[in-house]
Amino acid sequence: MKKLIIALFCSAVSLSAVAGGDVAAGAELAKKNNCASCHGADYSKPIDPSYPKLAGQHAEYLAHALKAYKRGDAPAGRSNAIMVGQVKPLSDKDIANIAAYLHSLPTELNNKR
Amino acid sequence: MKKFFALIVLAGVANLSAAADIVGNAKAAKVEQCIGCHGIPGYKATFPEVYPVPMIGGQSAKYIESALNAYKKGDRKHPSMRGIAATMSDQDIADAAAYYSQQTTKK
Repeated sequence: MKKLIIALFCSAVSLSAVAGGDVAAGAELAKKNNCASCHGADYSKPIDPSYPKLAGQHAEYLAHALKAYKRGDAPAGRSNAIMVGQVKPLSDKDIANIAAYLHSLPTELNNKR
Repeated sequence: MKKFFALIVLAGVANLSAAADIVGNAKAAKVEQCIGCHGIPGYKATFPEVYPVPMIGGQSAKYIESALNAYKKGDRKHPSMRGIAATMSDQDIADAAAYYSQQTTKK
């Protein structure tokens, strides 16, 4: 029984680590892919108001959105030409890391109603 | 020639005012169909990934409009949001965008 609990605990920890992503690696990737050149230096002041603020947004949602751009024209995809190009070189792990980094930043967003 | 230029300028202005006709009114926003997901902290969507729905309070109005129009047009294909955006007029979209962009981080 103890072993089972330990095994469950370990798998829970490793699962959350995968979902969580690596903030430092994400920061590097965001820099490398020039995310800030459109979404703004602090990711709360995009260069155009039609681009989203990303700082502090839920990491899993950001990962979902990036994966949707990867799907492109396929079901549940997003076809925005700029973002489809941006996500092309990213692996699922890269996406989780970028999402973790953006989520870690101070936010202007809320879900009040 | 001068008259021609004046006409072109006038036409340009008229065009601009036509494009700017729709002004979002936060008070008129019909957010009933938004709050059932976006107003519940921790509420999760489950397709095709499992993820908490995005926080849209404090997001910029222009982005919210652009996202809703992308769902309406089909550039974004998430089925739940497509269904909702399809029911919204340009005015509804502008109102919802105004409403959510004016939500502040303060509780």
